[in-house]
Amino acid sequence: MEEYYYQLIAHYFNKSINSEELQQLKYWVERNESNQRKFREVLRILEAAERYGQQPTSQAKSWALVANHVSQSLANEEPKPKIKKLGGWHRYAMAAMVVMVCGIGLLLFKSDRAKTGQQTIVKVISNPNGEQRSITMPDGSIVYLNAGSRMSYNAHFSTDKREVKLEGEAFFDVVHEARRPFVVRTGKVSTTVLGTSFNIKAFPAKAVEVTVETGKVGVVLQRANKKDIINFLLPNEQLLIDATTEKIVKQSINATDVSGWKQYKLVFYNMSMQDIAASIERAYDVKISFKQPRTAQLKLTAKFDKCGIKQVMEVLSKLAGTHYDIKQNNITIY
Amino acid sequence: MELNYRVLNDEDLIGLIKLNDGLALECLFNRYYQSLCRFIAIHLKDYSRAEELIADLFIKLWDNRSTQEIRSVKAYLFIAAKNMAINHAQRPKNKIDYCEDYESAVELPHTGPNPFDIISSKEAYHEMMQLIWLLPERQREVLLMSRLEDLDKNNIAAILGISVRTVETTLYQAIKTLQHMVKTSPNQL
Repeated sequence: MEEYYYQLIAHYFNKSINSEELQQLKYWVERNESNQRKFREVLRILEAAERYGQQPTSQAKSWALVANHVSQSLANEEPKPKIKKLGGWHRYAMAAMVVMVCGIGLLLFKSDRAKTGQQTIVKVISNPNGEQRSITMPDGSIVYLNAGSRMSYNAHFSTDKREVKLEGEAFFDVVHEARRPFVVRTGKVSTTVLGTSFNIKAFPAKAVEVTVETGKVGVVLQRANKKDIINFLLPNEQLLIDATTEKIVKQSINATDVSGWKQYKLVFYNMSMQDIAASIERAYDVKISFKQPRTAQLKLTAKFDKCGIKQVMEVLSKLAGTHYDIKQNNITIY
Repeated sequence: MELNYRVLNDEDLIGLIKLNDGLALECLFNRYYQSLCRFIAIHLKDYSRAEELIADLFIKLWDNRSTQEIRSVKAYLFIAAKNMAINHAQRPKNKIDYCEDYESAVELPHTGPNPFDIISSKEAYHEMMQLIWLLPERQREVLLMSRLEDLDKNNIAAILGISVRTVETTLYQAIKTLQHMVKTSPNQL
């Protein structure tokens, strides 16, 4: 019988007692002095037991030990980064286009092999600026995720469709499956394919750009209270969709230039310095600021092939007639 | 990104760890680190050693991620932690004040800080903690485990391999034993 009241005291101490139990406990405690003493004593025991071993831990230090081990074990398992040496120096200068090939190009592939597990779990892959990687999807499709971009998908694609959410830029090489469309969601715009390769650029507060390299792609813009707009794209066609103004532009383009980033090429066609700077910030993990706002509006066309940041900045400032200054990761254009 | 992880249950996290996901391991680590350290301190007097052992535990969990089948992650972590503590204490080279030695544990001049020394020196619970240290091992274990946030009666039963009812009676016995000790203690708490 007494054990029951001791349990009630424990519930009371844990703040998990219900009103009926509380009533019973109150009655028991008030019955006599001996019960009151026991009540206080049990509380003191529980309090002491609660405080036992409670002390600041060096959790961060311990995690650093574990994290160090984890990164080492992953580094040992994955194939070593491929370092590809390219020929000598080549420079091609054409009209308003500059092609530069640097002495050394570093190809770093981090493959996130999504092994087929049985759980339904959302997999999120996020690239910081300056880092890109290729991902092999559960269906064998390959996704190249650009720097400063992030995608998520169900680790186990559902049986009726293959769905991916994207924020930023990625190139998709989709394995053909007639019964299971591959859908890329970028806010209100979704791109549906059966099996093709295409590039999507969808950074926050920017127009979504879909560019097709092979096959046929359907792009849907969802609109509130209105019919969705559907566009079909063929190779070397690009669709620019502004989800807020609902303005849509279709144009012809060299699709391999658009997806050049996955070979560490940067191609800018008649692009504002501001947008070019945003691409460079993501690709090289730097911060670019303009001393004169007018420079940011300048439009340029340029092409870079595996160049270091200094070479890129050298060429851009020559084209734009400006100067630049690099301090660690901060670049100022003036 | 971490947002998504925090809502995942332990078993989902283990699934991600099998896919080489270090963030999932970190999430599981943060979830149980404090409790595991406190739990292992029931068996070890050296708190900093306890922390090292828990770091080791997660390293082992990572290394065996592809081979190990874990049904209940929580029970697995606590059982493995206890085994590590016992193995550690039985290693002859390490001079650990293992709790089997009740008397010496209390009388030994302690070289390093240990859980009850640190707290008891400042707290009014000093003597009660010393008495807890003197409890029979199983009673002390159940009493202290019952105060760990992450563990309920069912968890304790699963980890110790006893019935829920035994957990309840052991807890009751622990309190009764302590009350008796208080009564007979010369200091009269």
